[in-house]
This record gives sequence, structure tokens and C-alpha cells, in this order.
Amino acid sequence: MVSNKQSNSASTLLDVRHLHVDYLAANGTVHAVTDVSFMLGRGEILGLAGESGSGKSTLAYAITRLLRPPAMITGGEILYYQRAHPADAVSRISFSRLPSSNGTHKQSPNQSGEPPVAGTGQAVDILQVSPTQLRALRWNDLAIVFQSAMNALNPVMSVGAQIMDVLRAHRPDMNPDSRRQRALDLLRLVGIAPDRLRSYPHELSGGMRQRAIIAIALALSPEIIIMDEPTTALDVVVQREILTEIVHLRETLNFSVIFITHDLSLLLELADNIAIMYAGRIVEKAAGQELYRRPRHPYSYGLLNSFPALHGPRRKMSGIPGSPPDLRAVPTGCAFHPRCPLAFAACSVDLPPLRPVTTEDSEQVVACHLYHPASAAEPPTIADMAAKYEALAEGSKV
Amino acid sequence: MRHLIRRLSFYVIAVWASITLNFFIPRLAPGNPAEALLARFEQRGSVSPSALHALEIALGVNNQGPIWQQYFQYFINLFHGNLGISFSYYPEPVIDVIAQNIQWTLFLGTISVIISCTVGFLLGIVMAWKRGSRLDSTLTPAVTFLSAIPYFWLALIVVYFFGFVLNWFPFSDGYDTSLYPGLSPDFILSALYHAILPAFTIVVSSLAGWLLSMRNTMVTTLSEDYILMAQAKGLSERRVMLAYAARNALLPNVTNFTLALGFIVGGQLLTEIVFSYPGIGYSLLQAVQNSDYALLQGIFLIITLAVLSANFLTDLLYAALDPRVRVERSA
Amino acid sequence: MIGVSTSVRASMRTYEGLRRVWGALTLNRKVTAGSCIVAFFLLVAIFGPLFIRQDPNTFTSAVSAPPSAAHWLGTTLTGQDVFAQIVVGTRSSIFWGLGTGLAVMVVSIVVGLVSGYFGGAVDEVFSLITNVFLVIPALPLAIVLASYFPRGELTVALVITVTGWAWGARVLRAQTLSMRNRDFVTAARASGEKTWRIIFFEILPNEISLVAANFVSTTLNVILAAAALEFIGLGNNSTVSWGTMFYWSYNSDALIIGLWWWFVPPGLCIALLGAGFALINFGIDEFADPRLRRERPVIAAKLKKAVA
Repeated sequence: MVSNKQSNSASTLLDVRHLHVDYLAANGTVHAVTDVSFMLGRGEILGLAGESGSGKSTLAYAITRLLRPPAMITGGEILYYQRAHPADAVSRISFSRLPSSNGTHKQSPNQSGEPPVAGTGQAVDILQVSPTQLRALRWNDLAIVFQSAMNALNPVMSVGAQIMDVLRAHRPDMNPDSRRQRALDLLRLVGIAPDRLRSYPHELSGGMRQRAIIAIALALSPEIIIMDEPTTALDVVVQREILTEIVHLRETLNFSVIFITHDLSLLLELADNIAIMYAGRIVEKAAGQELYRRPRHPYSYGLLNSFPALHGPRRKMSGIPGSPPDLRAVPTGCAFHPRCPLAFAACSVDLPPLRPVTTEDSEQVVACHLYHPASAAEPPTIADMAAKYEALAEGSKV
Repeated sequence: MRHLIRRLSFYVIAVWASITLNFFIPRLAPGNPAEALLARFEQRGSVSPSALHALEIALGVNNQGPIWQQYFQYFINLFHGNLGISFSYYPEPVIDVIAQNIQWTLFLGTISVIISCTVGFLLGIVMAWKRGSRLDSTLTPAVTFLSAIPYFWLALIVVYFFGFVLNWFPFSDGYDTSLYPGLSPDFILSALYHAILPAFTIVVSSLAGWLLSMRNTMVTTLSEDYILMAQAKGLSERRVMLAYAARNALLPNVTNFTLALGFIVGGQLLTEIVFSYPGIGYSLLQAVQNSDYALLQGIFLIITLAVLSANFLTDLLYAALDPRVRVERSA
Repeated sequence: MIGVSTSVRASMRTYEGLRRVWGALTLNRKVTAGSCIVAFFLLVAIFGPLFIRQDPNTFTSAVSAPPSAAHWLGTTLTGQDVFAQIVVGTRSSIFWGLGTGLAVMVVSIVVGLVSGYFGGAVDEVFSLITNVFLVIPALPLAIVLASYFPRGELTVALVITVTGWAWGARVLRAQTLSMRNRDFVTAARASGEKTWRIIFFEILPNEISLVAANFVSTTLNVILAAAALEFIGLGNNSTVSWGTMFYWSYNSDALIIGLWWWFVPPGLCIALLGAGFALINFGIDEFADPRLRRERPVIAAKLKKAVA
């Protein structure tokens, strides 16, 4: 696991600021994502964890503007910092026409290694770019690996054709032979036999399909790959293979990953930083190891202790009683307070903002009143939270 | 291949079923109306004993011998192309009458179906893509209204308005009867000119079906994940719409085509009647009016064979379009 | 639900299903328009002939007269009042249409549900029969059948029933197949309910909206088919219906003489009624498959579009 503290803005890749996404339904507006802000650095793996309905997938699709009506982005900015150093352009024949954020249109002919836009570190707001610019941005810089490969692959096109058409769309200077070669290279990279180039999706096994999706995602050497529960539909053995593959590829090609899952255990091994989402907000964000050692938010604690460890003493499984709130009517104050065993008076009144846990280390942030810097009380320890959760579990068992 | 063999055997069964229907319907009819027909034959003129015998077998008259023997004989007659003698076109054998007329029906039918399908599908694709737009919300109800118009009524109106009142196009016959039939450019041009109105009628009546069907399958397809992924890949709108969406949405419509074909054939027959077009439809009307049962049953059989063959060709097309059906190559 | 008898549950579910259909019918503007059209024709069919003073069958001396104050839709070649004919014909066509449509639905339901529920050999046989009847062109077969039997409305109705049941059977079979494995069916079977009761009192009520949509399109096809057969001359030419009006006008060369008021009204009636049915079906389709529904565009200030 590569540990990469992204504290200087020069290596920031994505800066999401106060993003709001709503689903406008006839029977009420669903606030799927509320005031989400985070930063993604170059080469970082960010894990997004949460229950179903926490808004993690919505967030991922919002970043690439792939949401369909009735979803609407109702606020915020998504700033993307393009490639600054030529060295980062791995075998990239660039032809993107992204404007710099001051609006001037810069276009460069194909010269390998040349940065596409003059001026390093210029940011574009993905939510503001025109459809043409968005199309150039897509897949070139931002790729997605979908959850169900079977559904994400066109059933009537061969896998090779689906790799090559993205090459044809974004790299018009490539001829059919070089496209084919690149497709074969990609297949080899993810561990699929080259004779599968002309296979159809239904002819591949589940694991192979997922690898194919990853191969397609890597086709244009993107900066960011968003992985939406890429291994959920697979059995654990294949899951392990795919995850190892992802880590290996990332080490070779150095792209950033936003990894979305409900399975926190995966992230603990994989991710540099983990953000926990609940009811459309980020409630805690910390480095993976930190989160594992010392979860701050009661919800994070509950999630971590919802799956049994293979080793260690036998514990009573507590889980988190209750269910996620209806996003049309989110509870006042902290959305988690109805289920939280450590809730107190302020929790149902004030919304806790996302702020650093300690003043020294600003990387770890949590949205919980228990960690209010002005409060006199000591923040709870692991033992405290364990005890409170157990008490809740006991109490609910009538 | 296995899939195609299954389809082929199904069609064989369907052919057998139609032949059997043809065999039993006259025998089930009350009052044995076919006998009257045969009596009228005698009045028309002499019919050779073998032809008479074939007619008797086909129409269930003078049931000599056990029924299975007649059944067997009927099949043999059919394989020799012996469908009996036509009363309305006496003394021509039924098979000759049909052979002459079916060329015109096929000509008109093929042109109409190709135009109707192509325009219908393309419009359906575009309308689904621009779902909710003004184009969609005005065109869809208009097209729905069109689909409810009975074929022959539309034909009557077209004949009256464009043919009789405006006199823009000919409204009867398949070609200028002063011309000699043959592959001369004059004749071909005349044939096309005479086909315009009937083809227009058939196209307008059947267009709605293709359009709405394609629109619905497109709308369903557009909500699939692979469309989202294609858009995420930054492909051009046209490529996503055609190569990803339409290509998949087409498949259920190909299947639909096989089912719709029987219906379209019926509509075309009626249109031909109204236009006095020299196709099968007109002979069908003659047969009904003259109670020419041999011709009637012969037409039914040939039409059924034609429809089944078209169905089989469509199945071949489907296998070519959908790789999932070709279970040959295993993972 | 213990203690509530099957038939009560079935009727409750049917009622629920029909209420949903009614909801769909009044939900959409298109559908409401369609329902109004159909309702109008039903009213004319039931009450229309009571208001007609002229006998549609009497010959008058006002031969081939265009529409006027005396004859609202003109007269035929033999001086019969076209308007009277249309109104009287509506009753005949609609009643026979609805009745035949009902008959077709009954056959479709029985074959479709039995075939879908039992599966196995029963399903194979019934499906084969259904597919054969689907693939054999309906109109030619109907013409052959009708020409052998005595001319009349009953023959037309029976012939259409024989040739038209297959489509509904196929649709209902598919639906039943997916319902068969649902929990409520397993529960009913486990509680020892008789098979035919399961089929008609458990499964059928759950499919009532599909049946309703199917009934609408079936009736339209029936009316079209009946008009077609009557146009060719296989109906009862001495009664007045939309189809026989076509027959007489065509055979009197109304086209060439120019008596458009004779054949345009019956066709317009069929087209309008058909459009009404099609609109209703459109609405039921949209209701059943939410993906086809048009999302009402929400206009809010300063909304950034989420889709490129």
C-alpha cells in the first residue's frame, strides 16, 4: 500500500467543493449528496464507504456528470487539475482540447509527451465545461469501472471492438493496426489472453469481464479511475485477484482511484485514505490505517465492527441497529443521531460540520459533536464506543 | 445452428398444420358447400377425371375411401403442385393463377415493407433519443392515431382523393395495360408509377407499428448500463445512439417483425382489393365472390408458405445480428 | 390474511388491480382523451338508435344525395340515410366487437395461464399450438373459414375468435411463468388449494392490468378484422354495420361516382375508436413500465444540469 500524503496543492488532482446532488421526484426531493467536499491527490487511492443509499455511487457519477434525470446537481464545484508534468504523460499522444479555467481555448497537435495545455496546475470546473469539452475529458482523464461488467458491456460488440472504439474516438491519429496493438497490450496488461480480442461479453467468465472493463478503463491512460463496487458481483477468490491486479496496475501506471464500496474491509487493505458517507454526507475521512486503529465517528466504529475478524477473541456482533434515513426527510441535526448510541442533546439540533479531529493533524476529519474543539468533555475511546454499542444491542434484545 | 434447426422444424410443423387445416375445414363445414361448387364445374365445361379427383380430395367431396388415404393423397397432390382447377379463372389450374398474381404482390409488398420498416425504425430511434421533446410529444400521439386507421379505409380514401379527385396517380391496375409486360424501362417505370399509391397506403398504415415498437425498445435499451458506459467513454452521440443503443434495440423488433408479417400481409391483401391491383388480393376477392374454394384454399396455403419462409429468413437475420444466439463458441 | 377465504382475497386483489388501471386511465391526458372517445362510442351504441327516426334500411327517392339538413350524412345509392346507418351500425359493430373481444380474451386467458402455470409437457404442447396460430396469417385463414360457413355475424365472431386468441395467450403465458414462482403461489399450493382455484383466483387477479391492456388491443383488432371480413362480403349483408357499409359502398362503386359520404364515416368511426383504444393502451403501457413515462421537467432557478 502506497502511503502518499497529499498536503501540497501541486499534487492535487481533484478538488470537490460543496457538492449537492438532488433527485427531483414527484413525491419529494431526495437529497442524495449534501455538501460533500474532498480532495484527491495524484496517485492516491481514496475509498468511499457507506451503506446502500448513502450517496456514494451518486457522488461518483456526479463527478463525471453521468447522472440521469431526475438527478440534478444543485450546487458545488468539481475542480480538476490537469496534468502538469510531461513526465506524467505515459505514452500519451495528447489531443485533448480542454480550455484553461480562464476560458481561452488552447489546442495542440499530436506530439507525444507534450502537455496539452500551457500553464501547469490550471483547474477546470467539470460542472461548467461544454459538452464537447466534457467528451474530451471523459475517459481521457476520468474513467469509470462499473459494478456489473455484464451490464456495462455492449452485448453485441466484441470486447476488442469496445476497447478500440474509445481509441478511435479520442485518438484519431491512430491507425487500425496501432489501435489493435494497443487493445492487445491492454488485454495482456489485465491478464486476458490475446485471443479473446474478438470474444463477446457473454463468452467470458465473470472475472474476465471485470478485467475487460478495467482494460477499457485504462485505454487512454486516465488520471482518475472511479471504481464503483468493481468486485461486489464476484466471488471472493476472483475478488482477491482483481484487487491485486488493481494495486499492481496502479503502481505501474500511477493513476488515482476513487474506490466505492460498502465493504470496508476491502478498503482497509487497499486505500490510502477512506471517507465514510452517511445519508449523503461525509462523516469521517482519515488515512486507512488511522481509521482502522482509531475510528472517531460512532458510525465508522459501527461499520468497522459489523464484519467479523477471522482472528482474535470471539466478540458479540453488534451491528448498527435501525436503518438509514429516508433521504426525503433527513433527521434534523446529525443524520445519524437516531441510531447513535453516543448521541446527546446537541446531536438532534445542530448539524456537526466536518472538522479536523486534532489541531496538529488536519488530515483526519470527522463530523461529530463529540469532537467539538470547544467542548470540555474528552472524546470517547474505542472502549467507550464498544461499551455503548453493546449496551444498545443488549437493550434492543427484549 | 441448433437454434436454427429448431426454428426450421417449427416452421415445418406450421406448414403441416396449415395443410391439415386446409384438409379438414371443408369436411367440417355444414351443408357441404363444396359439392355445389363441383356441380357448377360440370356446367362450365369438362374437367379431366384426374383434376376432378384432385378437387374432390381437396374439397372433401364424394368421400371415397378412408380419410387417412385421402389425407395422404392430398399431400401427394400438393407436392406435385396440384392445387386443383380455379373456377373463377376456369380452366386455369390454381397454381398458375397464383403464380401469375403473386409476383405483383411480392413486388408491392417488398417495396412497402422496406420503406415502412426503414422509415419507421429511423424515426423511432430519433424519437426515443429525443424523448420528451416537442417532436416526440407531438409525433407520438399522431402516429398512434395513424396506427388505428384500418388499411382498407385508408386505401379507399387514398384512391378517392389522390386518384379520383386529384388524378395525380393511377388508382387501379399494376401497370399501364397498353404496355406489353416485360423488363423494358417503360414497363418498369409504369409498374413503379402504379405502385406508388398502394405502397403509400401500406407504408402509412404500417409505419406506426414499427415506429412505436422501435421507440419503446430504444427507451428500454437507453436505460441500460452499457449506454451509460458508452457515454462515459466520451463517444460521439451518434455512435452511442446507433452502435450501442439502436443495434441492441433492433433485436426485439426483428422478432416482432415475424409476428407482424402476417398482419401486414392481411392489410396488403385488402389494399390490393381496393386498388384493383393485379395481385393475390384481387384473386382472393374473386374466389370469395364465386365461392371458388379450390382457389381460396390454394391462396391460403401459398400465402402461409410465403410468410413462413419470410419468418425463417428473419430468424437467420436475427442469428446474424445477435451473437448470444450462436451458442457454438463456448466460453 | 388467515381466515379470509380465497375468493374474497381474489376479489380484493382484482379490485385493487382494476383500481390501479382506473388510476392509470385518469392519470394521463392522453389516456383520458382515449377513454372519453371510447365512452362516447359506447353511449352512441347503447342509446343512439333510440333517437334515430329514419329507418336506415328504407329506400328513399333522394338518391346519392350529399350531406344536407334533411340527411346529415347524405344518402346512399339507393336513398338510404347514411347518418341513420352509421348510428345503427355503431351498435352492431360495437356489441359484436366487445362480445368477440371477450370471447378471444377468455380463450387467451385459459390457454395462457394453464400453459404458463403447468409448464412441462402441457406448456410445450400449448405453446406449440399458440405459436403455430401466431405464425399462420390470420386474415387468409379467417377468409377460408368464413367462406365455408353460413354468412352472418356469428360466423364472423367465431372465425375471429379462432384466429385471434394466440397473441393474448402468448403474452399471458409469459407473465404467468414469472408469477408462478412467487411466494403467494407457493403459499397457496402449500395450503392445499385446488389448482384451478390457484390459477383463476390467485394468479389471474395479479395480472388484471395486463389483461385489461390486452383486452383493449384485442377488441380493436377484432373490430378491424370484422370490418375487413364484412368488407369482403363474408358478413351479414342485410344488416347494417360499419363493415357492411364498406361492402355496399365499394360494390356500388361509390368511389368512382364520388359518394365519399358513404364510406368515409364508417372508417372515421373505426379510426377514432381505434385511436381511443390506442391512446388508452399507450397510457397503460407507460403506467406498467415506468421507464416509458415522460418525466415532467422541473424548472428551478440556477440548477446545474447533471447530464451532459
